[in-house]
Amino acid sequence: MTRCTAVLRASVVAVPALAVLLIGAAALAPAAGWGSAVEAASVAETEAPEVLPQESEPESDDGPEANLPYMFAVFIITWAVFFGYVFVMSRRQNELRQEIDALKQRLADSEQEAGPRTE
Amino acid sequence: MNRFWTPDLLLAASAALMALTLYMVFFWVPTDLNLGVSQRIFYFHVPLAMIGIAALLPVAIGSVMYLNTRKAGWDRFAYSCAEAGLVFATLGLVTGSIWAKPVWGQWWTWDPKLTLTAIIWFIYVAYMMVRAYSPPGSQQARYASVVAVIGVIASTLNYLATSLWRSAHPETNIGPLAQEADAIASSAINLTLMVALVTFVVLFAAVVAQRYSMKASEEFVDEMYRRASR
Repeated sequence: MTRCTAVLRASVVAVPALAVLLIGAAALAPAAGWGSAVEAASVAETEAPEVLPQESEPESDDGPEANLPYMFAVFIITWAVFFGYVFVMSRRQNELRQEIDALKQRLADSEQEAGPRTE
Repeated sequence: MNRFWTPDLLLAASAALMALTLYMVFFWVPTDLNLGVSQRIFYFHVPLAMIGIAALLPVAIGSVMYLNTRKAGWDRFAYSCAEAGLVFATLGLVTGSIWAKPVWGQWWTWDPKLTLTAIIWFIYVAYMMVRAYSPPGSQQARYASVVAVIGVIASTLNYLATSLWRSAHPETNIGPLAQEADAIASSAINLTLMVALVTFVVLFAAVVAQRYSMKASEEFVDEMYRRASR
């Protein structure tokens, strides 16, 4: 039962992670029309601001798909970290539940053993 | 009601919202003209960094409330927010660094905003170390609340950083300090960002609720060991 709950919790995080990969695969296909609507207003400065020392050139000038690996790195790292964190928490929670059950049993046994001596 | 019900419900809600966010990020919102697909990092980086930085406020509130009321629930809440905040702040830094490489041409720069974010990350680490190594009880709570209050000052400075100092980081484009000129012009980008923000807030709440319930179990086990050793 507890293992089933852990699997359920892990899958809650795993499903969106898989969705990222699937959507990514779909987006890489030309039929998906990556970058079809290229008209949005810019959010950040495009050119590197002058306060930055230029060690290398920005890599955003090679078409809209040039930086795909960076985008997928972000999505994969984020989901890997959340998946790992929730999985570790679920496992620890199950261990704690088992520990609580064992301790309750130990306390009940010791109280039973102590019972006749106090009478 | 089952006490494990709330974290599961929140996790399920965050998964559903995440599906919506991913649809909007990958299929609905248009690709940025200048930044290309790397601009889509924005919808993960901004909520992660914002929550990671702002989470110090509930940590401080929880710590101060524990000192005032001595209710263990506030202490658990502060600790859970700090741990979840550390995860979010770490991811905010990592995703920001990955985005900086294609846009700025380098992974990191000692810009005021970035440096303050790194300081906030170290404040989280300091908080966790105080909780782990100082003697349990009121002394630990006092030390931890001091660290949390310093963290709130640092996170306020972080929000103001682009207004106070010359910064390579884009200006504040949401919140009370956002100037009209720096506000996001596209309503599609704005809406996607808001949905992503709500999604990550729900995910943060789910993680905090799960950590809270785990901390309660840990304290219960400690209490049972104390009773068993008597």
